[in-house]
Amino acid sequence: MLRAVHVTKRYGRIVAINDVSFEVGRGEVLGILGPNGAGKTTLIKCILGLLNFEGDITIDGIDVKKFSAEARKKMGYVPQRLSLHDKLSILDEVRLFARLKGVQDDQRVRELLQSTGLWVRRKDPVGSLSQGMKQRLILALTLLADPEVLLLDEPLSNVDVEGQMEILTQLEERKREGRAVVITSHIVGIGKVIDKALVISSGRVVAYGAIEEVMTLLKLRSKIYLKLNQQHESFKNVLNELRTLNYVYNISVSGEWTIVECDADQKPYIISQVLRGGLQVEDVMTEEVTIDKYYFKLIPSGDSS
Amino acid sequence: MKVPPVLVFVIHNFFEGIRTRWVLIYTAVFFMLSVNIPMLVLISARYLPPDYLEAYLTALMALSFPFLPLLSLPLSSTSIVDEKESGLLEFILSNPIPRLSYIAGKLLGHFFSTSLVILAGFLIAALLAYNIRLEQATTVLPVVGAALLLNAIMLSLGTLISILSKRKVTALMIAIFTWFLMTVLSDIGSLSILVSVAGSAPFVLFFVAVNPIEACRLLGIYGIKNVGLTELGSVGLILRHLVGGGAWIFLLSVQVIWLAVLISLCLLIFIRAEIS
Repeated sequence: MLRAVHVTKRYGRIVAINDVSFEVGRGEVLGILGPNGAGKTTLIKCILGLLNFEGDITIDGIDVKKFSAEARKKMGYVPQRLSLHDKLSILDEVRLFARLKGVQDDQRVRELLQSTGLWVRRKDPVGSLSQGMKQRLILALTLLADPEVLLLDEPLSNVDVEGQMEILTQLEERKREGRAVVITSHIVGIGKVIDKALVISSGRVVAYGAIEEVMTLLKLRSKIYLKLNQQHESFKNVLNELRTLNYVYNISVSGEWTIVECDADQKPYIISQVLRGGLQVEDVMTEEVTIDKYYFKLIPSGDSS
Repeated sequence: MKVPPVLVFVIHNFFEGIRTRWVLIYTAVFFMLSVNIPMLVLISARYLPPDYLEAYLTALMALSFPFLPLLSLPLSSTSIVDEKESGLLEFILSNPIPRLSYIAGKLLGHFFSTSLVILAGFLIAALLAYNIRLEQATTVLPVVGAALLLNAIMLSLGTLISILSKRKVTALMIAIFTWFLMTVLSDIGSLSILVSVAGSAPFVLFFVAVNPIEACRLLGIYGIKNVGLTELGSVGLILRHLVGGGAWIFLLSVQVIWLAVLISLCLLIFIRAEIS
């Protein structure tokens, strides 16, 4: 659906994007991860044809450079900076963008405002909306013309936790509808929804691939925290037995907690192994490991901000 | 019916233009300038001279033309750069809209909204205060035409400043400085000094032609019937002496070139510009 091949963007001598290639299919979510200034927004703007670049980007086979307006018909963009015509009413703003996108149907405008919960506020000026509501409106405007590719630039940065949850739910829905989604982030939150990750730093690709591949590259493992009786006579034996298992990578003790690093799907076996050794598990905690929490480990020191 | 994007932008920018606070204030000020009080006193006392309309229009042009750019320059010079700064421009242009439609819609929309203010100033004042008859419209139309031409040139200049600037404040400062430069240049006194320097007549021609404010004022005067030589001013007289009866064609041609060059630059630069 979206294909970028050897994309390079230079500002004079500065190389903002350096030979980046990736592909996103229908119903796939690509997460572009990287610290501030890594080149994530620049890459999105290249996809939209707002910046000149070297290399090729195609949307469903349409060259972004040669037929930018045609390619943009298939794209919807939610920018990082949530800016609209603040003095216009919400309804007038939606009508304006509907006309620009060639959407004639007033019913569609109404449905869209109703689905976002903004119909009751349709006469209010856009400037009166909170950041979260504004983002909801922008996402609605983006979906007006049913784009096949959705580009979201740092959508979690400007909203509270509730807003973040809503965006992630929306993303899941768009994914189910078969749209290709590209989402950039430098903060934790998108790990659960992305299928592919493109980790970039200083404009260069550090890692790219399906989430499992990048996780393997990062050697990411689940952590299970067990509260055990450390004075029990079999405590040391149980730990030694756990260490022999090939899906257990590390065991450490921190205060009253025993921390076992293991493959995510082996957590129940760890617990049964402990119980079989004669120890009682007083409490259990697990740490969810998602790529967005650890991608920075791939970034060479000095690149992250 | 599908509305072409350029028309959507024209309508949007027209309403945005007339809603701008600065334009509203300017409309009020311009209307007050048009309805000049001494003339009203003369009307009420029935002491109007036979050529009152010509005299009024000449005086009005001398008074209002230097201030006309204060309507169009601030409005246009901040329009694109403001959207650039806020991030709205990138969101708008991420839609399937040709950039030509956006910039053409901006120019035309602002032209129509500011023209409405100018027309309101000239025509409503002329109709209401002076009870102008339809046959006298030919006297007013060249003045309105010259004002609209000046307005179009200034809007294009302001839009170009807006395209090239990165910050709204900088754009506004450049626009105001340009206005100051042009009004100082158009000052008859300063040009008289130029004239007094031997062999400077070509300079005068050049300055008159490149300065749209003075050139459009002269164009307006040439369009009024029964105007004496004194209304042309020293610059107009020299121009008449050098170019003869074709002075108005010369002025009009140069102003049209101004407009064409500015609009072409706006389109060319904006279409190729990177939106970062």
